[in-house]
Amino acid sequence: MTSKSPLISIEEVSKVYGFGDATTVALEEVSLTINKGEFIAIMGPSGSGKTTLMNIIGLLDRPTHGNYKLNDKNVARIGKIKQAKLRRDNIGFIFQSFNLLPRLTVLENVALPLAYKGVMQTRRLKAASNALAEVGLKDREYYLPSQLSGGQLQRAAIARALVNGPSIIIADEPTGNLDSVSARVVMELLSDIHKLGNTVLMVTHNPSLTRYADRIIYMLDGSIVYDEATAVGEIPKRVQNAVNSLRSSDEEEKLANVSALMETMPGPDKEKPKAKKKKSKKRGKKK
Amino acid sequence: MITEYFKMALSSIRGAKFRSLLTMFGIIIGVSSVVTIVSLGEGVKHQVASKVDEVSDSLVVIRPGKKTEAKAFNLDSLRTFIGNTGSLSEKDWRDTEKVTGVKSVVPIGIVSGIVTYDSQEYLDGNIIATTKDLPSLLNQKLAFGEFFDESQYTRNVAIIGVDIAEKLFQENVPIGKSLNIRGKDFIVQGVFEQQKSATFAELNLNNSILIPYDAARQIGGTIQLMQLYVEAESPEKISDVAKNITSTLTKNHAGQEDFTIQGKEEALKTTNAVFYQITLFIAGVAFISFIVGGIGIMNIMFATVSERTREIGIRKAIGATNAQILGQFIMESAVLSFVGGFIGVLFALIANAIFRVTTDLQPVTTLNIVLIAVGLSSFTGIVSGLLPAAKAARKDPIASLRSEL
Ligand SMILES: Nc1ncnc2c1ncn2[C@@H]1O[C@H](COP(=O)(O)OP(=O)(O)OP(=O)(O)O)[C@@H](O)[C@H]1O
Ligand SMILES: [Mg+2]
Repeated sequence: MTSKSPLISIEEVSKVYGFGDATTVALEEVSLTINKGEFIAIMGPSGSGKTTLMNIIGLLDRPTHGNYKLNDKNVARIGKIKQAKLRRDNIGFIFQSFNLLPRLTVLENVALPLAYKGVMQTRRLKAASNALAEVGLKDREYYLPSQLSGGQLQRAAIARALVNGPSIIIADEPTGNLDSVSARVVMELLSDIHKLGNTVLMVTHNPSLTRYADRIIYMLDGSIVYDEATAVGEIPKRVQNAVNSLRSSDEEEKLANVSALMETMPGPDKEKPKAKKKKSKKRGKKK
Repeated sequence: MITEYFKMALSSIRGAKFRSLLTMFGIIIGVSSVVTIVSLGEGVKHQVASKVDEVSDSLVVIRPGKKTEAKAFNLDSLRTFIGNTGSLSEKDWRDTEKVTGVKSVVPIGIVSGIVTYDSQEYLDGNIIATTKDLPSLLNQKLAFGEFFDESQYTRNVAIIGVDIAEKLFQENVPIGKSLNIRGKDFIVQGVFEQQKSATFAELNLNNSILIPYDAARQIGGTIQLMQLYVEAESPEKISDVAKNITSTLTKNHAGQEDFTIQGKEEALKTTNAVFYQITLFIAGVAFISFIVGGIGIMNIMFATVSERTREIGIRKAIGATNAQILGQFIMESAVLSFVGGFIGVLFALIANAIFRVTTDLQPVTTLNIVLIAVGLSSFTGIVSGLLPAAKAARKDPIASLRSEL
């Protein structure tokens, strides 16, 4: 593991939004190394910078400071065109809200990344069809997204993320909009993808889902406060304790409160809580 | 990639049919009106040109009155006589015949009087006194019977146009029947073929009764010489002949040039000049309508881009470059206006068909004008799609992903 160079290497990456009094530090000098084939679950309260970190790793965004090496290439300050192409070839995104284009069929949606790569229509539809077969949606190819259930939509989105053969799958709360059964199906799929040797980064608010991961990162106020390898299939004690200590009988509410609870939990590396001056806990309002 | 953009454009146009139609509206109206107007203009031009072509190349027309350029062509003069002041005399006619280079002169004299047939009056037609060479000079054929010859100059015979046959006699071949002019019976001995449109000679034969000049003189009343058709010995001599006639007639008219001499070339030249102005005018209208259409497209494309912000974010997240987003939206705008131009041409063709059926106009839609119209509208689409597409391409993917789908 140490002999090979890591897939992703992030050094002291910061992301600052706005300026003057409205400054928000979304990430503060985050350093992180990810090797090929890892399945990382990222947790943390709302506004702790999980999505921001995923966007930077996924080459949708650029860090304000710091370095980012992908496959040993420095990509922190590359141009937009190169960034788009690297993103297209290396990253597969899975979103909480599925994000399939409503006017295209499921098959066309899945084939879209290949279209931007310049693959001919027949070949890319074939590839998309194969990808859909892999997620068990072979018989839904010509449906429109509006005709699928949430779980099916997310499986289609996974097929779209996979169709390009990316080296990294980034899933930002992929089960956030799903019922527990659909969520399970989606998680099993991600797990299968992981077992095939893919690298998966998943943001989740649901501690029980960390059992699919082999590494757990916990974020707080723009920093990584907990980073630990676990065995797949096991929910780490710390997370387990957090869940157990909740007395609420309502399972749903319990899960929702976990993040809030974990906010108070100290990380293993005992990072001193930095004094952060200006920070809004609320999600950035778009404007 | 271009074909990709094209397919994407088609699918988003299909996805928003009503909006797309709205976007194309300006272009559709612009293209259909411009193509219709140009087709009508072409049609009239063809009619005039073909008629001018039919008359003898050696023909020169003398008319009373000084004609201005503007009066040289108006739609009225295509169908009826122009009631110009000034006059030509029989002396002018005879003197013109003596001018060197002149082969023959055919007078067109309006005979005053009312035509009756079967004690029924006919007031709409013209009674024209003329001589035997008129049909050959105007290249006008007879459908039935024969034109009069020199031996019949003093006989009361008449050649009539199709409208006269229809309205006065109510039959197609009234040969042998007689009509009454100023109390004298004239026997119909010929019927002209339908004259498609008036010639540059400005003579509506369809609604005319032609009688020999000498016979007209015998029945009394006045004959007003409206035109003299002069046939030169050869087409090359036309300008010399015109010059000679001018000097002869100016002498006759006490030094005043109160008449107009026009050759075939000149007639074409004036119509062409008028058509050039009409073309400029149409170009202006077209220009304005394309600008208006383009602004309409730009507006709606801007709205489309804002509305589809989320879609743009998704496309970028899965690997679209800014250039690819740009290309997609420009193509969309171009396809919209191309289709708009195409629909506009279809509307114009329908309008032309309606004109053809309901009026005498024969609009001609050339391939050129269709290509130009469709090409220009596509170009308009590309130009007006540029700014909205650039806006789409510049959108920040993360912010876009957060907006509503
Ligand atoms: N475009 C932006 N402008 C200003 N502030 C922003 C912007 N995007 C994010 N932020 C801020 O950065 C911080 C981190 O946001 P981020 O979306 O990464 O949180 P998160 O951990 O993904 O939260 P959640 O669990 O709710 O998705 C938040 O305080 C947020 O308000
Ligand atoms: Mg988030």
